Amino acid sequence: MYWREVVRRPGALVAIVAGLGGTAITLGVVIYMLLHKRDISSCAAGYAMGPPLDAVFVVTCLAAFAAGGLLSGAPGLTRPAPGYPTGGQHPDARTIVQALLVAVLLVLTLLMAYETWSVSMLDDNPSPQFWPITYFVRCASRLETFATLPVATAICAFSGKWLWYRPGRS
Amino acid sequence: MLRRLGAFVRRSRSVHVLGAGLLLLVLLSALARLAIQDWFTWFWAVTVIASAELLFIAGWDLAAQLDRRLPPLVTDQDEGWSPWAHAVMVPFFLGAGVLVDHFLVH
Repeated sequence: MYWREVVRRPGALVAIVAGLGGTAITLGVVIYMLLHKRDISSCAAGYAMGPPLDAVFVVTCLAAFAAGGLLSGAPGLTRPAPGYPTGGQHPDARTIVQALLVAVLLVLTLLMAYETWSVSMLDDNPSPQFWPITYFVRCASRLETFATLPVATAICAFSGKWLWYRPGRS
Repeated sequence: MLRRLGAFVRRSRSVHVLGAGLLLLVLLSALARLAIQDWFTWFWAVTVIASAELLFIAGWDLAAQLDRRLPPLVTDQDEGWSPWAHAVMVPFFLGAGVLVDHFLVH
């Protein structure tokens, strides 16, 4: 069975648990927000949280990034366990991964361009029809500060796992 | 030490691509600064430039995988980078980005 083979791969269990957990938490947050609508008029100015909570977020996110990067070297967790058969990556798989990378970077570039355009529009219109993406994040952090922290922590941990390339790990 | 570093920089294609990308980023960012007066908007414009550069490099390497006549810009071969250089690069740029965003831009 193909899926049985996929599940046996190194890191598959972590990816499945994290993916299902993230989906469940996101759905829970969406349902909670739909049922408990909040007054967002205070978000229009786009202010983020101030000290000392901003420092708590920065320190926690940096720690999560480090933890995600360091845990990615754990044998059997996200790396092949001793004795696991290793082989070269199939050329088709490499092309698919590269195409996915191009697609992700294309989406990121478009999102950055939208953010730049929407931020530049704020000078002329402080209450614009199209908010910058960061304003939604700031609004969430203002209204639900302590619910935002675990989400930011999870994003930073995954960033550390995926982006912090450290060769030579056992 | 310096001679080894110089020889490595001369032969490594990844270093050439990184250097060219950073140089292009500096030049385009300076040009954007002439047109964009607001620091905050300029900061986001720089992220667009950097993201577009990465998109170009990834797109080129995808084309190189499909057409073997094209040379890949970022290879999957070991080019002799020090493990320490690899390990330090991401935290360095992350820390620099956090400091610039938190203390200079905002």
